[in-house]
Parts: sequence; structure tokens; C-alpha cells
Amino acid sequence: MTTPGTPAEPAVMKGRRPRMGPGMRWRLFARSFFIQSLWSFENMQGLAFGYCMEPWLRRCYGGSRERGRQALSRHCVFYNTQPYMVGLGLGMACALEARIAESAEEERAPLEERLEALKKASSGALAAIGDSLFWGAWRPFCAALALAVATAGLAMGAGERAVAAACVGGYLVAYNVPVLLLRWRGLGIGYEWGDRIAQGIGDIPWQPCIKLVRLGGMGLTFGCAAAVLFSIMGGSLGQAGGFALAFAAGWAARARSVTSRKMYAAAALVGVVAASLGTAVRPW
Amino acid sequence: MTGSLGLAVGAAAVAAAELDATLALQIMVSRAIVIGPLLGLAFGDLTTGVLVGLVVELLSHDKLPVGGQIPANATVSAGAGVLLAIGPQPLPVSLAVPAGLFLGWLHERLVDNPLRRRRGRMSRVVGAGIRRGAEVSLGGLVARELVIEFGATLALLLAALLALKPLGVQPWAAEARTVLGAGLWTALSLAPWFGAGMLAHSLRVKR
Repeated sequence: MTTPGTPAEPAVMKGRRPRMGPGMRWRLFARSFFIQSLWSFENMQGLAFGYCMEPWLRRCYGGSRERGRQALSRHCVFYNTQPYMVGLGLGMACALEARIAESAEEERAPLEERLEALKKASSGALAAIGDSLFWGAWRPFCAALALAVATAGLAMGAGERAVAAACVGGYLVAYNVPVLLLRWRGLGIGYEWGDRIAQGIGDIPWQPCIKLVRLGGMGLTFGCAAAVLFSIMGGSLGQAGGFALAFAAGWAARARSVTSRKMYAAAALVGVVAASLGTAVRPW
Repeated sequence: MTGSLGLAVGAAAVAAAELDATLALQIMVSRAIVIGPLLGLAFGDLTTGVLVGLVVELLSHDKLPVGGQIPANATVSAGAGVLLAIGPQPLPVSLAVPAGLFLGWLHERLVDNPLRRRRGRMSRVVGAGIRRGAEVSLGGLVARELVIEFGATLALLLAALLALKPLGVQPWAAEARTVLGAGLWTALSLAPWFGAGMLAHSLRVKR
């Protein structure tokens, strides 16, 4: 309720937020694939965030070039999040820009400050969740899945081409279905959430999802390693033991942050020493 | 696809796929497990493509392109590894894989890092221009950066192929018979197991 002396509530705050139509959503969605294309150490995804916002800002400020320019410069500043989560951030920014565009002049400054603060806070939270979920769990899980498909295909005697196609196709489809869904739906959800984005992010059970994906991936990796070792054991127990040791060494190296390049060089050195002593590991 | 022209087309395909790693899309067509088999299939040597792709994928899956961190480029590693191991004057795969891994690291130093610093200078100028009211085509900048990254990656790959392919006809590189060759074979044999161990560790559930 408006009391005398306080500014009137802008129209959009009363629930009359402009609709984000499918055409506009497609434009934002397409541009969000380039969120990292202007990445720099200084403002990270900042410039590209401005690029993604351009169509919406044109719609909001079509009548005022000066206000459109000011809005664009608001978004071409430091911004960094996980690229698949950017839809949520863009949707939220669109909702707040729509509110700023339709608000009275004296209400704009606090809304602009709120937008800036929400962008900063939500980008960090979305980056932390996205990094853990996609880079830290989903991508390794899909690699493990591809490995499992290849192992199962070869065990069943499928042709090399069929195994490779299933492996590559399975990896791309499994990885991209949830990613594209989140990128597309994230825009609408972020727009719906608006400045309630922190609450919205907090309501989703991210951690159980991450845990489940990790457990699944670990099970697949151990399962594949065990299946291959079991098949080798029939031929050469020593070789299977050597590979099992290499698996354990990889685990230990990762735990101690030893790089894969160093591991590779160490293995080459072991091979040189083994060859000098008259033995060598060569499974293929 | 065979011959030098085929290799150049392959290098261009790798450079285009590399854009997916950081700058655009991120739909994972840049991953080693995808680019390796596809190149192998295109060049008629699927086994080598799958082998190189699998090894590089397992060794590079835990390098996260998070924030300012730039890992060695797995797309370049896998692409260069396959292109070196197949086509005219092929290198033994045991030599092509470490050469590819080295080129992935070189790409990070010679292409990724300098281009990101360059974009930093550009973003300061562009940001100031927008605040002054200058007309800036952000879409044009995006397209330009993609073309520059593509060109730089392609140049690195072509230079590497020109420099390393002649090693394929050297008698010592024809087949790994020497002590060093045996060492490289051992590394290649153990690499998938190292990588699988690393993969399992990266998927452990933290308490």
C-alpha cells in the first residue's frame, strides 16, 4: 500500500512484468552459447554478458538510446559464472532490467544497485554449484559412462565402428541433454525468480544430485577397470597386477595433485629402466 | 581423407572444435574422447583415433577450465596426436601421444594465455567506449575473437605437423624397438590405467 511521501510502486512490481516471448528467449538462449567468447582476466565474462543482454535491453529501452547505453554499460562489467548456469543469471538480470525500465526515475538508482548486488552474489553461487555439478561430477561421469559403453561393447563382440559410435554418441547425448535443458529452462526460471534468485537456488537439492552422479561415475569406473583386469588375468596375471598398480598410482597421484604429464614421464622412465633390464609392458 | 591436404583439413577441423572448449558452445565436441575417434574415422584408422582420444581424455578430464585457470588444451593434444599418428609419414602412436600432450601445453602458453591478456586490454577500451556513448558492435567482437582463436590454433597445428611429420620417416621412429621406444610404449600402455585411477579419485564423494 502506498503511503503519502513514499514513491509509488512501479507497475512491474505489482506483478505486471512484461512477458519474455519465445522469440526473445531464443535470441538470449543462442547468445548464451557465447558467454565465454570475450573472456579476459580482468572482467571475465563481463563483455559477453552485455552481448547476451543486448536484445532484451533494446526491447526495454527501445525508446531511449541514452538509457539503453547506460543499461549496457551496467552489464559490461566483471561477471563470472559457470557457462551452463548463465541462463539463470541472464533471466534474473532481464527481470530486474524490465523493472528498472518501467520504474520512475527516483526509484531507478536503488534498483540498479540491487541488480548489481544480485548479479555479483548469484554469479558466485551459480559458479560454485555449476563447477561442482558439471565440471566436477557430470563431465567425469559421462567419461566413465563412455568407458563403460566401450567395455561392454567390446565384451559383447560388437564391431569397432559400432563401439566407437556408441561411445561418442552416448557421451554427447548423455552430456548435453541436461545441459541444454538447463540452459533453455534456466532463462525462464531466472526470469520468474527475479530478485528471489537466492531463495530459488537454495531450494534446489544440488548436493544430493552431485553426490549421486559422483557415486554413479565412481561405480562405473571401478566396474570397467575390474572387468578389463578380470579379462586380462586369464592371459597374464603379472600384467593384470601391473595395470592394477597403475590404477592405484593414478588415484594416489590425483590425491597428491601430481600432473598427468609428470605421471606420463615417470611411466616412460619406468619403461626405459624395464627395457634396459630386458622386460617391457606392451599390451597392444 | 588422406595426403597433406587431408591433414590440413583435419587440422582446421581440430581448430574449429577447439573453439567449443572455452569460447563458444561448450557442447563437448572438443573433448578428446569425441575428436579422437571422429578424426580416426575420417582418416580410416579408427583404432588409433580411439586409442589417442581415450588416453588423452583420461589424462585430461580432471583439468577444470574454472575462472582464470587455463589447463593444457586437450582438444589440441588429442587432435595433434591423431594427426601425427595417421596419414602420410605417420609417427608411432607411442611418440604421437606425448607429442600431442606437449602441443596441448604449448597451446595454453602460446595461444590461450596471450589471447586472454589481449582480450583484457580490449575489454578496457570497449568498456570505456560504451560508457562514453560510442557505438560498439559486441557481436562483431565475438566473431572476431572466434576467428583469431581459430587462426592461432590452426597455425600452431600446421607448424607442429610440418615440424614433426618428417620424424615419421626416420628409421629410428619407424617402430619402437629402442630402449627409449620401449619406455614410450610402457607409458602409453599404463596411461589409460593412470587416467582411470585419476578419474575414480576425482569422482569420490567428499565428506
